[in-house]
Amino acid sequence: MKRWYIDKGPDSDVVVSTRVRLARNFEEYPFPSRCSRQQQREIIQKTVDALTGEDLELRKGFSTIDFRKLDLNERLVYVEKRLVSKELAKSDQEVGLLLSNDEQISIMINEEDHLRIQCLASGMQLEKASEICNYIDNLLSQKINFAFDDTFGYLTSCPTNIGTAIRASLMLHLPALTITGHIQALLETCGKLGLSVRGLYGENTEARGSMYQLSNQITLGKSEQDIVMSMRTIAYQLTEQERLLRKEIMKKKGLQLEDKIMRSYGVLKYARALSSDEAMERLSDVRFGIFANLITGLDETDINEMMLQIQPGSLQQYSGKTLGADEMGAVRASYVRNHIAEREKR
Amino acid sequence: MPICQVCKKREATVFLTQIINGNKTDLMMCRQCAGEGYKIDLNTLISGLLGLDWENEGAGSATEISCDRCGMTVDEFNRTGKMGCSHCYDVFREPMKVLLKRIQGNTRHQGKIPDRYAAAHAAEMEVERLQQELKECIRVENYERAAVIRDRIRQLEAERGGR
Repeated sequence: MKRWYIDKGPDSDVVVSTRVRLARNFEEYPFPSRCSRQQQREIIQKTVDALTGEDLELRKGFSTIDFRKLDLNERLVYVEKRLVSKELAKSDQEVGLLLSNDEQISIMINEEDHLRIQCLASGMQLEKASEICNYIDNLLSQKINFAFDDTFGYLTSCPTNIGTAIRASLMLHLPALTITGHIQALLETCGKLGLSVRGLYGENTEARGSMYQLSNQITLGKSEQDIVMSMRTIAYQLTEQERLLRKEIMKKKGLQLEDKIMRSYGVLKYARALSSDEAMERLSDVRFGIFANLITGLDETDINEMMLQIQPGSLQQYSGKTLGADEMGAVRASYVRNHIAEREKR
Repeated sequence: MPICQVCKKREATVFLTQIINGNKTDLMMCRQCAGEGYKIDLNTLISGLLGLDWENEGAGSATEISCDRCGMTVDEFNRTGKMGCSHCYDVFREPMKVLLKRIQGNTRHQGKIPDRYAAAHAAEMEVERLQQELKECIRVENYERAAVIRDRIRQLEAERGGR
């Protein structure tokens, strides 16, 4: 399987990516915040051994990344690719990362829980991603006794994750629901159904680039399959509504919308400085334009890649130096310009 | 003056209601903490909840109890919203059930079970099922069958006790 951002998954007009994450803890150690550094190091070693110990194929498929040796910007790039959490990147503890070469599976070590097993996939692939997490969990369980209680299920540092300890998330692109203002009511409904929705890139509740993250809140009392199934049902309805609404507004406000999308395309192609906010909004417009058959030179994987690469950490890695605010805008614009020009040559 | 449940310092002026599986949770926050919006994670919001009900139920000075394995206290949980180790869940089992009922709407795990627990779990389920059947047999006065079931339950429970 390809890296999530350069792959075209099912329903990718609306569902950008799927992430499933399991929290697991060693029974014999206290949770990470109460572990000594020595214990934390032991946990890293035992996890690496349990996963890659005997199976040569697996060993080849994974890299062990010594997160402690990375500087802040290098860590940030992993966050922007959604391979690790902000908390892991910020941690001054003995943290570790096991990453599959296709960047599909990542195992964070000594974050809030000893292990966070995560699978990322493009588009709507909830079942597949949970199967993969389950497989990795089974594999590790052969060597590690995970903390489990007959009543409470898998035990986690925070009671909000206890039970199945599964967190499934979908990243959704919902421009039509956002433009028409229908989104607010829908999000409230999702909340009542036990799902949380938040803007992915924006501050607070505001979603930048019409990107939303839908995740399950409840982890206890429902099986993994039930959690995934009910999320899938709700996501399916959101997807259908978004599609209908896209058609409808294209019919009603075709010219106005086409103008907005093509203007954004123009800005991305020619601008000399781009703030992160503007870039996200313009890329969101263009993503909409691609699926409305207005823009043919790019596809959704280009948008995924650009949305990822225009984040500060990745831009600094791209330019090979630390950037000030003004420089950042210029480098961002230049990266986007080059990426589009490159694609249009195809 | 109600105090913010997040920072526990400022006056609470924002009231957040959350409904999970039909269970309502109310949280009071100050403007500053609420302004942090979705940056507040549930960890912070639930801290402060663990000790409350326990004390209300008159179980005495709950705040003095600590985990005999990692030393975590109720106070510490209330500050951080996090447990110290897996054994904490045994130590604070009863108040934890109250808390879980509120934040998860449930107190009993469904779903995946590690292999090493699976056999024990299956036996437990079997006992529960047999007890239902036993009641039914007694109701219809099928005492012969009831005796067989009773013996089977005893056998299963003896096995579990010996594990």
